[in-house]
Amino acid sequence: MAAEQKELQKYILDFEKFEQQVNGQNNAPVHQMRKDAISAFKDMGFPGPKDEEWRFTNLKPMLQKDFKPVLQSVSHPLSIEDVDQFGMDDLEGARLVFVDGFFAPDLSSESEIETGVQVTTMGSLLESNNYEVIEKMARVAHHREEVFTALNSAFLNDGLVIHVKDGVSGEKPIHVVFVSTKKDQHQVTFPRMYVYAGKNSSLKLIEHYVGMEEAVYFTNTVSEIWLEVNATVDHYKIQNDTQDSYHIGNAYVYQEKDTNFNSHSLSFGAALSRNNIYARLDGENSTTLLNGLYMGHRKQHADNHLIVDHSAPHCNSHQIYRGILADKSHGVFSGKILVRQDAQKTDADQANDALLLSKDAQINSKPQLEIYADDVRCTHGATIGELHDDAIFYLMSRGIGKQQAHNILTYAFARNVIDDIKLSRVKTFVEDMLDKRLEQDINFVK
Amino acid sequence: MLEIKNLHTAIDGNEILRGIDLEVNKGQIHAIMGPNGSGKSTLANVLAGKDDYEVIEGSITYQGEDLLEMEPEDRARNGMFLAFQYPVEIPGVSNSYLLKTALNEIRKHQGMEEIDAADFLALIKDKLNSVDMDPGFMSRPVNQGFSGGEKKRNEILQMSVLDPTLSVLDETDSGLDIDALKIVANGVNRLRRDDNAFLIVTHYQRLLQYIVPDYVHVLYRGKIVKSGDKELAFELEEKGYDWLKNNGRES
Ligand SMILES: Nc1ncnc2c1ncn2[C@@H]1O[C@H](COP(=O)(O)OP(=O)(O)O)[C@@H](O)[C@H]1O
Ligand SMILES: [Mg+2]
Repeated sequence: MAAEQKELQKYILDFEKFEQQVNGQNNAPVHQMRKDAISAFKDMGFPGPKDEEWRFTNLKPMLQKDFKPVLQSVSHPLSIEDVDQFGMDDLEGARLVFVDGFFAPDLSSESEIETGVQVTTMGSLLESNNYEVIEKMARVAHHREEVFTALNSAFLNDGLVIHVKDGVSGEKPIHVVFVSTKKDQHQVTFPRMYVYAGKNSSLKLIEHYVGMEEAVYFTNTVSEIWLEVNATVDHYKIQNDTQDSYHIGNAYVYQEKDTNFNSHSLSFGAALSRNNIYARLDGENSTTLLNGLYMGHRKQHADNHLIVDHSAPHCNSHQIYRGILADKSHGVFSGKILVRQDAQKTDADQANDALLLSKDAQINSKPQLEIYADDVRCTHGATIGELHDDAIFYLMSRGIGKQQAHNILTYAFARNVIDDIKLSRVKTFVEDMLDKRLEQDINFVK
Repeated sequence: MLEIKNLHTAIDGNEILRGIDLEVNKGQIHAIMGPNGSGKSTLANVLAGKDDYEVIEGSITYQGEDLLEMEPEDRARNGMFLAFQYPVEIPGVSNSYLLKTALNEIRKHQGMEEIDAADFLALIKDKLNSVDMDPGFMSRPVNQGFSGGEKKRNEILQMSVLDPTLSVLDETDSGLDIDALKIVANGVNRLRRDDNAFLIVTHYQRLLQYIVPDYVHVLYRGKIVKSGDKELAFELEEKGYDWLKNNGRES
């Protein structure tokens, strides 16, 4: 108990420091939200092993580290070329870069943002006392329910607001890169995204989390995505944080009728990562796709928690996650399909397949169906497997070496998640990530 | 080319092959027949290098080298090919990727350059035709959702592309209709040269009407109990295996 108090206390003290810095905003609504969030944070406290949603994910090692919030933007050491190295630098469209939690205009190409897509940083909104958008936030990202969302809201300082105007199709993806740089000190950042896709609009968005080599940090991120009638959002999240860092992300999605939300969560980095996605289907004829690939090696821990909340009839949802776990890595998957009473004719499915590449790798998989409507189709399936000896031998009997046979089959396992990725540049990036992890150029499709 | 001497193997402690002697030379086709469970697949798999089997006694020499010391992929790179009795389904790996990778592994071993995409396509086109397979098969996952006959034809396709020195066919004819059977036989006959050899495992003599073997051996309870020429196959067809069960080994 005492230890947990200490961990909470640390963030509360940091919050007090933060408050002193933002005293210009002290009476603004945003600061009320922060205060409300910190009090929610105090009330909830950090989850422990007895908390059902955190049973398989031990936060102790993370909480014991003294991560310091970055309270203001300072000059950074990065060049555009440095950012290029994190990949997909040849992607068409705008690249917006955040360094240690703050927007870095010198590294970003705002000019490439398409007309009708309005992008502002949260920092600039706060500075100009423009709270209109910020007041809209937190409609789905309730900080009273999730402690890490509360923490993020409490320290809200910078981030991105994207507003796609009604009827506008954002053809080129917006690539948002969050870089952590500090090697000498452990730091925590609180990136925040708020996306509002207007009626009949569409958007392709990539959130990309990375760190400088050897940086040890904690990223606590929240993304809220609101889809108005007939909007389509393709959301890619690439978590490629350094091997010793921690990543906790919460995404909240709200869907009006006739909307399409496609999420691709690609998780390769961090000592511990947790991705929560909550998608609420609140209008008819909408579709949610939650597609994910997570890869663990060494002692990595990768946790994915999904909730699809069917609140309206005639909607479809698909959860398709695959995990590849090597060495002593540990995966956790929890997928919930919630079908409320009104959500008749729901068609929902879920599949989580894990491939264990070593005897010491581990997966905990937990499907949950909570169904209150009677005319629905819901399915779920989970598999846990190893590479098949017969398949390995078949490949070897064709002249392919053992390690390569393993790699080909591992790659093939990831295939059905990768095949769903529509942006081809993201697809090839993920293929390259796989090659890098497997230490071999499998070069599948070419 | 291949010399098997007094081969004894066991699986899970059960002795399955109990003293096999067999010599296969360049330009020859040997047929191995025998009732179910006699050890035909065991022999084929041991040749390909499947490691479930323990070799208790004996030796196998292939092209002057100790085959049992070679990894399965090295056997393949040195010209050994097994057409599986039950070809394995590999979701997520396309037929063309497998075949191209296999071909390039063999080419690399022979000091040749990797084949380029255009040459590969040209090579495949012709071979696909010869096994009556649609080019669409190449982009499908290996054997996944293939019918029994398609799987077998796919093995023959691989064999004809990889152009092995020693091809071992394990009941490739089983379950095939007469047209598919002819495709398999043609595949062998087209490839047949005086510098390669075939070991054809079959349960029936049917296939041997289209592929004329130089030798026929009967495997029974892990031993070759009789060897002869193609006439032996017809004799077996007439009299059944029971006729042999009472005999010991004749030569
Ligand atoms: N994995 C195994 N474990 C135990 N026994 C096996 C295994 N595989 C084959 N056998 C046994 O070995 C014998 C020979 O099998 P096999 O070589 O498949 O025969 P054939 O191909 O001639 O029908 C059979 O008795 C079979 O039951
Ligand atoms: Mg058999």
